[in-house]
Amino acid sequence: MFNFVRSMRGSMLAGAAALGLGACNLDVASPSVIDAATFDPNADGQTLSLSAQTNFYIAFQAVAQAGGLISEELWSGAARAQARRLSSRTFASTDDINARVFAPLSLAIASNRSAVSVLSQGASAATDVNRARSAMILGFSVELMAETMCTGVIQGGPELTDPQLLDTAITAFTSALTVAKAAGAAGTTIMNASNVGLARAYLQRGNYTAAAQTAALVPASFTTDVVTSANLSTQSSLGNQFYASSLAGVLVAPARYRQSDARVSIDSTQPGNTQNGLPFIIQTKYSSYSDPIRLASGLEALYIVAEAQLHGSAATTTAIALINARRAAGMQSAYAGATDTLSVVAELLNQRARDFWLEGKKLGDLRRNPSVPFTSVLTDPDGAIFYANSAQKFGSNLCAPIPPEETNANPNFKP
Amino acid sequence: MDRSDVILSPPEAQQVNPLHRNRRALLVLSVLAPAMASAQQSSTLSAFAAHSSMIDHRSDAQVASVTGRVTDARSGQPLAAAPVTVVGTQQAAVTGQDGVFHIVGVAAGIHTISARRIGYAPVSRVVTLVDGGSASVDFALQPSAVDLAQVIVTGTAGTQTRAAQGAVVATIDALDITAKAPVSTLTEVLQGRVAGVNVASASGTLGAAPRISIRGATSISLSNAPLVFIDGIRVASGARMDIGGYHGLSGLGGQSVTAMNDINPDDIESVEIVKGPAAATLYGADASAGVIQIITRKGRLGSKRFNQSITTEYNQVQPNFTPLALYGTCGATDVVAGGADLCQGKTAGAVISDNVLLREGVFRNGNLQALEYSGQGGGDNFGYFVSASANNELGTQPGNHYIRRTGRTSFDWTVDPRLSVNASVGMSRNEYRVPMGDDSNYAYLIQAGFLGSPFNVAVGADGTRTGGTSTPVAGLSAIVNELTTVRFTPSAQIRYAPLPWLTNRLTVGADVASTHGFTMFPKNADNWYSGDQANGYVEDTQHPIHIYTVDYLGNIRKTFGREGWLASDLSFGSQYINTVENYLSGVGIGLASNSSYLVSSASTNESHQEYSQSKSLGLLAQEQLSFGEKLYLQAGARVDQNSAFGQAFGSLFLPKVSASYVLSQEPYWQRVAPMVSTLRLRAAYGTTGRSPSPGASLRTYVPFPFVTSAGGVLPGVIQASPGNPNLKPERGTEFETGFDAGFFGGRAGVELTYFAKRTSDLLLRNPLAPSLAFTSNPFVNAGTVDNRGLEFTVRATPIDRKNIALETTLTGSTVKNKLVSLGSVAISPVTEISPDLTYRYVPGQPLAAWYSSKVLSVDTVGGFATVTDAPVYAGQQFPTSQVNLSSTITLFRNLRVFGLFTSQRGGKLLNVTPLVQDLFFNSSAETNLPAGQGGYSKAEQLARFGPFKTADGKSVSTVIDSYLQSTDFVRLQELSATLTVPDAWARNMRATSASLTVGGRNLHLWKDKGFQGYDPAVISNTVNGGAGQYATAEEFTVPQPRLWLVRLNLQF
Repeated sequence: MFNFVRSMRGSMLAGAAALGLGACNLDVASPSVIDAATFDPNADGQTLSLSAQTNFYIAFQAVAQAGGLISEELWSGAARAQARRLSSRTFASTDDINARVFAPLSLAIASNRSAVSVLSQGASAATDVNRARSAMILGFSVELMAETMCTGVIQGGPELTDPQLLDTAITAFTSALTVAKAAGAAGTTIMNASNVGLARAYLQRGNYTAAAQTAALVPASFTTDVVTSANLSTQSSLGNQFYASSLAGVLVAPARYRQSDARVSIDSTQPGNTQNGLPFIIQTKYSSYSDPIRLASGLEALYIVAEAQLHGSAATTTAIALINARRAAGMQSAYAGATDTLSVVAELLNQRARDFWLEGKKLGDLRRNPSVPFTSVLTDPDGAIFYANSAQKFGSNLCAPIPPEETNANPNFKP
Repeated sequence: MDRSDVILSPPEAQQVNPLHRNRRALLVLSVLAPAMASAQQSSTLSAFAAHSSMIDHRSDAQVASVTGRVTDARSGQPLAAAPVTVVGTQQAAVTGQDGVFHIVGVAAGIHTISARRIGYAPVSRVVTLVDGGSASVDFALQPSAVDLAQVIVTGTAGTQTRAAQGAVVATIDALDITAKAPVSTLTEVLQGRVAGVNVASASGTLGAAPRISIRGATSISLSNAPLVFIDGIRVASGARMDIGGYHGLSGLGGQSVTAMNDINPDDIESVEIVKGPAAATLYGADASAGVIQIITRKGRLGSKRFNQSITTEYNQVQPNFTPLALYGTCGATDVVAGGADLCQGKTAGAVISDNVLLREGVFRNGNLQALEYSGQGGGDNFGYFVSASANNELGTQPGNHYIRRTGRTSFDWTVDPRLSVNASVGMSRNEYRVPMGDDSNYAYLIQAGFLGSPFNVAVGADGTRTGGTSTPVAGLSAIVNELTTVRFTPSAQIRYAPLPWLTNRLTVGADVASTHGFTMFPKNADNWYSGDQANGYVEDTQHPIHIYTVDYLGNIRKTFGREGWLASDLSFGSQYINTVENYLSGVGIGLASNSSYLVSSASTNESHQEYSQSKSLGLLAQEQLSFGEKLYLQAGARVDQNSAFGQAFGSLFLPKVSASYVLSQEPYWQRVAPMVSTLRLRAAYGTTGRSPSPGASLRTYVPFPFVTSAGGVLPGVIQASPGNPNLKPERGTEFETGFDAGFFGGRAGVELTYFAKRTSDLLLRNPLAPSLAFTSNPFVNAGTVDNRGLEFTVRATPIDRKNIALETTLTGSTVKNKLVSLGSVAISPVTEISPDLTYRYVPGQPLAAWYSSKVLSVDTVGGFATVTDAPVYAGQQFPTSQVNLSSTITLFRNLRVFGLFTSQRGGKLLNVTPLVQDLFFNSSAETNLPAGQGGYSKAEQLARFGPFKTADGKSVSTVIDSYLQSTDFVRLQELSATLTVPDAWARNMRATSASLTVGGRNLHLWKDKGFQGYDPAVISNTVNGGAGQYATAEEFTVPQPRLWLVRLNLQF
């Protein structure tokens, strides 16, 4: 008995001691998240860069959809008032701007900026294709913000105007080009894509000479895509969202996109619903979760050259040649319209709207060319009836204001 | 407290302790005053007893034994489960069903023997034992409405009397409740028993988890559920909804079951409830929502007998409601050939109706069958308890059952007067199967009341109706939602008193639970389901939760002054808790055959996993001074560290102070003692906390795959939260004060408590600028919530005669909840149904306050309703007051009739069911039938449908405040009669005693006239934590069923 008592006493003392020792270790495992303190961005530079690129892919699709709604590439079949207001260009800053556009773009910008910053410290920074890629994606991200938002913000900074945003994009593309060029063959795709992006930024900025010169460097056959994935567990975010939205009947195409043009691929038979007597049609350009979306191409470079020449020197020859080539591709006869600059610009944008339908470019086109009649580029004018038999009318908003989530939390917006 | 002498048995009747066979006993009688009429006498006795104990410990070579019987002084009936202790030692016994106890190995000398029982005034007797002697000590305990000598173990540093506690710790006599009331789960044991404890049912679906809150809502982001301990071991107590979380499904169809009900209530001796920070300080940085301590049944030390109990029970469970019928008004196109079947032969304007659930007999009587066994016994210095139970319960809906198997063993061993050991193991297997709930499109009520239509009913040639729901009933009942939890809760407690003034207690234990969840939407050819569930869908989850507790407490007791007038208890200790959860789920979409339902059998599959771990360590100390057993002062503190705290924060310091003054112990009180026999004033101040979620302080990335150039996915990262190195727990601070008064010799008593609880440093999500691009907003400490209120408990025995006795308990509470501030954080309003109706977190208002435009007046002539210019405060979601009344009538000493009424008022819920039927589908009786025949009056129509205008004529599209409806109710919650059958009858069954109980639960409900649903007490929502946790709604929710019970208990 005595031994037992003694052993119990020992056990109790040991237990108390163990409890005291427990104070030394309250470390826990948290595998659901990655503690930033345990993540080495230098060693995982490629992961960081490709993850940031994926953030851009998600943002690109979100912005392309929102821009598609505003520029009338799409209509919303959803009952939500916010989506309808976006679609009718009567939206305000509170109408899902943050979720649809601003937050995804901000994530793409911040993550690619972070990747560029980290990779710039690496030993092979001067020739690192990951660094070049992140700089290029940063350029596209900022450029999309400039084309979609009325003004922008980068990582908690002050409000930036479109020209300021475009200058930031130009800087990023220029940096990407420098590194990609130094990387040699491994950087060729990044270099071509950066040139398209840079030319696009110059064009949007109004620097037509630089736009034309840069675009001319891009091979006509070049193309690079936003890659999507049909992986089941990630298709809701990484899959083709145009396909997903069409599948669900959430986003449909306006009737004016029944163009009998292979470039504007639609299905009038699905899903068969109508709203206010108007049949829905759905896009079939993307027919699976894994269909890629074109991001930059030699064809876009040709359009940029043509438009830059029209705006810069009123030269129509290159533009009309491209228009006719593209009309032929769409089974249309040669262009027989007026050849004044504005008319040619309008037709160029008409062809561009068909070629790049649902590729996130049309809203920028409209904002860049305010004098072009909307009807010539498959868009209803301000004041037109939104839906058949609807009391709602189209408005004139072509850019998204900074959402209150940002202005409320960013000290730069405080008085 | 009654202390009296005892006449001991003659030497020849004494037992000889086997350890000291050769010693003869001489028993010395010690005759002291029969009742201590003065404080001085009491103090003298106390000091004398303490002094004696010290002497006895030094001469432990000589031992004796004590035996006796504990009875109810009023009825003479034996009292089971009454602890009898040798004061100042670890030696104790527990009475059996016959009230008998036996303690051996007691050191020779003078001892105080104390017997107590919840609801009775304890009695102590002083005996003098000599070596080898045996004393017979009987105790007749008087029922007492105010029991200050009751020993409590929760919220205190060690085992202390209620008189010493400045803060209220409520005690539920679970043994008594389970013996007489129609309860079968722990949550039913808690419901309506204690002032300030709110148990809100989420739904009447069998197994649905309740929402338990104590003294109001405090946290916005964290759970408001109290912590639960079993015999000092922290256990999981939250809601389980481990399945149905993906591909458009809402966990368990928007329902949950609760871990609280894993334990068999018949294994519980009592439940102690620590209501707030004032009493919960010693439970540390996670206890601000209160603590529930479950004290399980133990063995009968020293009984030398083995008592067994078998209980068999049958309940009929009735739906307690008639499902909604859907109405419609036939149009011109409906009455012609090819129109709606039910409109054929009718004229346009005719009203049709159909009740598909009634027609299909979906809701029908269920039942509960239970068989329970328990055995209790012991030897000279050991006791043991074993139990096993089996419950099979069939709910009122198809696909709803609950199968529970439990087992428990406990072994106590008093090694010697200094050392005692307890080891217990609880085991359970709980299997729930539930139909889809109110949030799911595949729930019965939502199918019939929302997605169905009488216009879709087909009428056969023989008049038989079919259809009427979008998914047929067969499809709804084919959905499988099963949760099976296997749980193992071992614990060990060692009490060691090496010196008379030093005691130590070490508690070590674990709660090891593993839940397996399974959901299946079977493949079918009838297009029952849509989306990813269309072609066969399975989810299979494993969710183990392991909680480990190590708890040490030491106590040094010293007395000072003349006759030990001043007593000091210095307590110190530490508590370490480690919680690990690992949730793993597999999802399979597309089945080849329903017989092959593995996730891996599906055409496509995916997996999900979540893991969390938290560790906490608390060091605590408390000093208690007792002045003449009249005035008690306590000061203590706990210092906590937690793995979830920010690295820059360090430790949390939690102080407490309390005072308790038993005026009725003062000499001058004797003048009023015949009327006011007991009066105690008390006050307490204390602080606790609520820790953040594991990992909340860290700057984090989360895994997020990136897309390869080939369209594949590889592991990537995305930045999640910037973290908060200064993150600390929410801090709950509470002051409470009140009094306990006993009247007429303990036949009536009142407890009144005022509390003021403030929760500061609220953990709130700080919305970062989106341009910073963190995908998760970090927690910051900001904001304050106040809860203030009154609690009262009135106990009385107005009738106490030989053949009839009436005991009544009235409990009540009020809570005024107010959000004081949100600091710099703004929480966006949460919209419900219409942008006009929101619940908001607005300083100055209750948490989650309803806001809606209000109908100010109705102009039936002009045909419009005038509403406020903007949404205004429209009420709060939880009740502001509760009152419960329970009574027990004992007739002829062998028939007990028990009743419990519960009530609440002051809350409002959103009644979605009539709202949807009225506004969206025009399918309610009220919108289709003429006024006066069940339809809305003109004024009611305008109030609901408008048109709405503000006073200045501005048009408002939708105002739905008519559907914010009162949750006031009075319910006859329980009614039962328990007959103790004559002994001769019991003997015929080869039992020593037997009792038969019949009763019912949820027998009647009186609700507010404006409430349009079945049951205002069901809240649909069981979410723990987050701004949405307070949302209450009637949303096609199954009301609580009515239950009829027959229970037979046999004692052997």
